[in-house]
Amino acid sequence: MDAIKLHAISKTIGYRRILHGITYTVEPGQLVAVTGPNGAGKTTLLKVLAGLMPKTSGTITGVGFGDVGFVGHQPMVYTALTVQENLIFFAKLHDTYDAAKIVHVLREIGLEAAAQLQGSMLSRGMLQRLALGRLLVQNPRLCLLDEPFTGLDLAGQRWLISFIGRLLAEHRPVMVVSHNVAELHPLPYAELRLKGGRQL
Amino acid sequence: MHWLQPLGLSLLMLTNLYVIFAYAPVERTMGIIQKIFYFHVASAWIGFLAFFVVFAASIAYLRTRSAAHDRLAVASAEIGTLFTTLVLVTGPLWARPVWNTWWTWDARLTSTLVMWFMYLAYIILQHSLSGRTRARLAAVYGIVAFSNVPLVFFSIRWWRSLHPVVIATDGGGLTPPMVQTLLFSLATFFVLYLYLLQYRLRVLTLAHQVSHVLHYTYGEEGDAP
Amino acid sequence: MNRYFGQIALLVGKDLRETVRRPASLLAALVFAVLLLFIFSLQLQAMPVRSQDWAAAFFWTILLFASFFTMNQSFAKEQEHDCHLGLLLAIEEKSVLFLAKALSNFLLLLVLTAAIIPLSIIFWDLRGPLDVPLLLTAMVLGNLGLSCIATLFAGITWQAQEQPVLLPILALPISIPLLLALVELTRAALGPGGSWSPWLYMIALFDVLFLMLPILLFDFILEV
Repeated sequence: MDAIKLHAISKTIGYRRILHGITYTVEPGQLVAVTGPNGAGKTTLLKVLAGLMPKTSGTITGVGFGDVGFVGHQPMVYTALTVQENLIFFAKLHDTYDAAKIVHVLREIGLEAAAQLQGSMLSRGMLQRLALGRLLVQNPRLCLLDEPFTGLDLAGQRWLISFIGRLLAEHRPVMVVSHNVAELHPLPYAELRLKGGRQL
Repeated sequence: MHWLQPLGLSLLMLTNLYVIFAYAPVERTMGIIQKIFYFHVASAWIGFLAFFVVFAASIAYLRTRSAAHDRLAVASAEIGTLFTTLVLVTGPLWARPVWNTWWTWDARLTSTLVMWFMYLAYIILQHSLSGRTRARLAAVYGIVAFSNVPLVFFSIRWWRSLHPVVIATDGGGLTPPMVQTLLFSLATFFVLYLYLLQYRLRVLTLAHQVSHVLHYTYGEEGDAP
Repeated sequence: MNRYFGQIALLVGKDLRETVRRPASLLAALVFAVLLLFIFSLQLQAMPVRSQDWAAAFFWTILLFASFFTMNQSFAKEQEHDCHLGLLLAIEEKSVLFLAKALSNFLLLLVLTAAIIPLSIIFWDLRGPLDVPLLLTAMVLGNLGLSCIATLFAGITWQAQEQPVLLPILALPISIPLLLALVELTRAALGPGGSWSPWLYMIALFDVLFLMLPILLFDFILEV
């Protein structure tokens, strides 16, 4: 797998320049912590990388459409569908469906016992795991997690660290927006610090 | 010299009134009432032209994303609605003394009413969104609405031919001086359209610049108007 | 191309499953349509007009209102848990979303139609010689056009402030050619009528226009 290169990524919304020429290289299997104060442009950077927002200028090489997995503040799953149906739906939508893989992903996110429960019955923590399952079934080349530790208890945080560790072991680069890099311990990480849309 | 334009326009409008009332002959059956025809028809054509400008500017906006095209669409839609309103007001004023009814479901008048509703909706859409989302979605509606105009026109024509009205709102037989008067009136209304358009565009551009300045002075958050 | 239609089928299946599990909005639409039917019938039974003269007009007016008030939610409901972002990660051609939603809405309208037709025949005492093939053609093509319009404008209005009332304001004037044509075609199907073929062409033209325009424009509508 090649490195993913961001070159001079800029984003302007109306009069607001949200990102000023971000240039960065993400190596395969590397964990990147995207840090900075509120309004630094962290979430915007992730949405631009995910293709959810068009960038104003700059280039991204190494990933194409559908290669980027994104877990945001909301889980992006359907409450009227069961856990398993959600995974199957998103796998088929990404054209990566494989029955054996769904079973594997259910085990990976620890929701085997809840596979037949509808999304509306899941707790916040379980929805978060389901969102990570949605990321896995997509088979992404780059994983973006926007403040994934928020609202998790200690056990949940430990589980998430081991989950990210497994993504990295599969040579998938992971970019995590975080307010507190201590929560990434003990994983080794590189830091991309933003302030006012500029790289520090 | 900003008073030159309004002065010139006023002179042109007065000349137009003179041509309509002094040069054009009085129509035989309708009498003096027929004079409203020159306002009615000119407003209708210019209104239609204005909506075509909305359509073209909307396509241009989606291609170029230039704020100037967006402002052109906004301004032209407002002025087009104004002219269409004039058509809908002068229509009944003409119909009442001539056919003894305020409203006739004549194909052209009904189509104009439907167009008026469409561009009223366009203006309401403009005001219920903000920023670039507003410009983008309004442009989409501007394209859809104008594409629908031929269907509106033909469906209402066919529908009228099934349910005919006894009267037809024609200008009657037009003599050459009447045609010349209509053309003069049309030209006058076109100049009026251009005047209103550049005036509205100037106001919109100033508003745009003010929010630009506000943004850089106070760091105001918010999208371009 | 296979992926394109596969994604459409997948989205429609998902929408139908959601509707079956959460039928509240479909039921509300049904009750709304039946109430409109009742109110029109109540007021018209006292008037000295033959029901087959106005039946077609009121039938489509009821469907028009019921469809606009229910399809408001087509895109807005995807915002729960930001599901629309999950879809946009996978769907490159935005017209997939339009066609999928239009098809789901079309199926919902067919359900509404199937419920209202028998009721209107009973309430309005329609006993003229029914031209069933023509009636079915009107129902299928008419509902297709209605769902395309409502879906297009639901896509435009879901981010607006006055969302619930904005959809009918935008869509009603645009749907006038369709409405006129449908009323004439249905009137011809309900009893001895005049020539209906120009109206059939009008409806077909309308359907084609409002299938093509959104396919061309939906990239702009769903841009973030």
